[in-house]
Amino acid sequence: MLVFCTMTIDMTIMYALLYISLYFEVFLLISFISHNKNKSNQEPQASVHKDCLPEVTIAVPCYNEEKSLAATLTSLLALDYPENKLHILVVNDGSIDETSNIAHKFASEYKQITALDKENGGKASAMNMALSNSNSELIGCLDADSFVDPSALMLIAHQFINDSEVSAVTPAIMIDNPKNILQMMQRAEYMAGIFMRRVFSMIDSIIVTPGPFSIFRRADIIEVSECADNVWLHAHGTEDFEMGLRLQSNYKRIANEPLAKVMTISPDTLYSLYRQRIRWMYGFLMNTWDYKHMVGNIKYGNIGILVLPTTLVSIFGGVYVFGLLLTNIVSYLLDALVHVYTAGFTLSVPRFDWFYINTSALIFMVLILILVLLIILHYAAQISHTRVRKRDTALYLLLYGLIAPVWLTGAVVRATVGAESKWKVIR
Amino acid sequence: MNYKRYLLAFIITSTIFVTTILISNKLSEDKLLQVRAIEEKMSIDILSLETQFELLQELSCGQITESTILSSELNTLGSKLSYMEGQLGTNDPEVIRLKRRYSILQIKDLLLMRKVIDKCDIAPTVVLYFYSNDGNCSACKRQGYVLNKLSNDHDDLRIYAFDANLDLSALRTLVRINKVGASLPALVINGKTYNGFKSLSDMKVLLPELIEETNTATPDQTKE
Repeated sequence: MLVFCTMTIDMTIMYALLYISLYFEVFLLISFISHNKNKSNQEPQASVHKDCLPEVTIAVPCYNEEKSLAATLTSLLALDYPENKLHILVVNDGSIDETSNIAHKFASEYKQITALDKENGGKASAMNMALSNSNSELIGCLDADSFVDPSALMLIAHQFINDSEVSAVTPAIMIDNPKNILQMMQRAEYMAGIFMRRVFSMIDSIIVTPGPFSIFRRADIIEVSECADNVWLHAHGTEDFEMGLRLQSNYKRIANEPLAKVMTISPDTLYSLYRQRIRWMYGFLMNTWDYKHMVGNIKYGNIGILVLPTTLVSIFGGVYVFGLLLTNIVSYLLDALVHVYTAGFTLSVPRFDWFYINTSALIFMVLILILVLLIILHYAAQISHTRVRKRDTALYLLLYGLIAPVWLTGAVVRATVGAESKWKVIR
Repeated sequence: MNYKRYLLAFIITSTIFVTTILISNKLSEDKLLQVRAIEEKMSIDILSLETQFELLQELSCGQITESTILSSELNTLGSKLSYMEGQLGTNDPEVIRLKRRYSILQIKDLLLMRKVIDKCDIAPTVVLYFYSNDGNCSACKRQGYVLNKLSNDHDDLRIYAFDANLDLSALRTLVRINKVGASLPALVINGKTYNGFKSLSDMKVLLPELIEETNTATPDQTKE
């Protein structure tokens, strides 16, 4: 065949990466469709009387969050959950702004809220403090830059009630009020994340329990920890990855509730987005290294043989494609410079001819991947009862592939040289 | 774990993957067929014109415009072939085969052009350009830019580009006749061979008739 006769090493790697990406997406779609088919044959689950609901503590770890803390606490107070069963613990992690005053003001006004102050030690230490100051059956976290939908906790609590084997439940995270194209791009990206988290939950493969409103069964997270006072670990600045992997490595179930909506403030500049993502990616790589026994290990099911290996391949593949793209762009620009230098600058209007349309298999594969991504976004909107804006999707398709490899490369370099991100401690 | 799901995903992905490759191959083959069709049409046109020359010794020079059309078709063919070479690689057997035919067509067009020059007392400037894209000719790309620029600016300039590495006896003969050395790029201008890169200013010295044509042209006729 023509393609295989003329393939270079670069092309072979590209085809392999595209095949793996497509396989992964197809697998997720099949899992989603078959799960939904089975679910439609099941009896609907009855709602639980409020007296039977479990007690929940929501910890709000914060560091210099004076701008958003009040809104976060207000959204928690508006939760549709019995007051006597919901405790809100604000842990001020050594903030140097007005965070502590705001927290104490709320604590004095609402008996559900307790404000604690501690020296700055990072989010994990703040969560540990919250855990040792609570005794409810469920404990969760809400980052102080996020706001919950009133029904979110009730929906999540039902997941715990309906399945006693569930150790943690993750919500559907959405971007709050995007103002620029970068945030709109992230809104579409987070929508795709809703689908991914849902399917990962169906195949028992959630590997991260994100900061915005993941809720845990207290007994289970203590059970998988070496010390009850140190349940959340620093874990390279990404305790949510570590917690997810730790629960999975102990065969604990992590579920997802796509209707439990949490809105979060997203980075609004390229630099802040880069810093956030490089921290996430670095954390993922380092935590995966710490839990490397799970990678490719059939004992851990789908997570071991599919999700972790594919995620790793996609990170390194992204770096590779970025390198290739960069090399091609540099080579093209050098060529253009040589052209101008040798033959001067000529501006000509190209004539359209179908003959010159690129019909390589690579282009078709990329188009198919985009199509599958659109299907994923469609399903994401369906399961979270929201809608995907066309503009967000277009921005996601246009920009994400160009900028994501930058932080993937940065994270791989950092992980390789062992330079941990030195960002703000808590975030 | 649901192994059936893994198998199903494998079947679906492989089907999509193979189908995509087959479609892409089919489209590439169609493009090559298109190139082949142009080549065939051109070879018939050239043969027809040659026959006309032989049949009618006194063929009117006014009727020889067909040769100019042929040359323009040769340019189109060359650019399509060059695109396919970029898509499928320089080692693709079909691309090599089409390039060989293209080279023969160029040589035939060159010979025909010489007949036209003799008969009609016209003097288009003819440049033979020998290049290599084996990676051993760093200046060939730059030389190509210079020749493209000249070709775009001067209708009377006829450039015949030959891949010197093609295994083609007619091409080898052309190389031998013109004493083209191993050092590429090489240009043959008015029967004289020049090895090595020639810049735009060098070319203007080597092709004074082009400069003259540009200088004597009225502003409306000048392309630059």
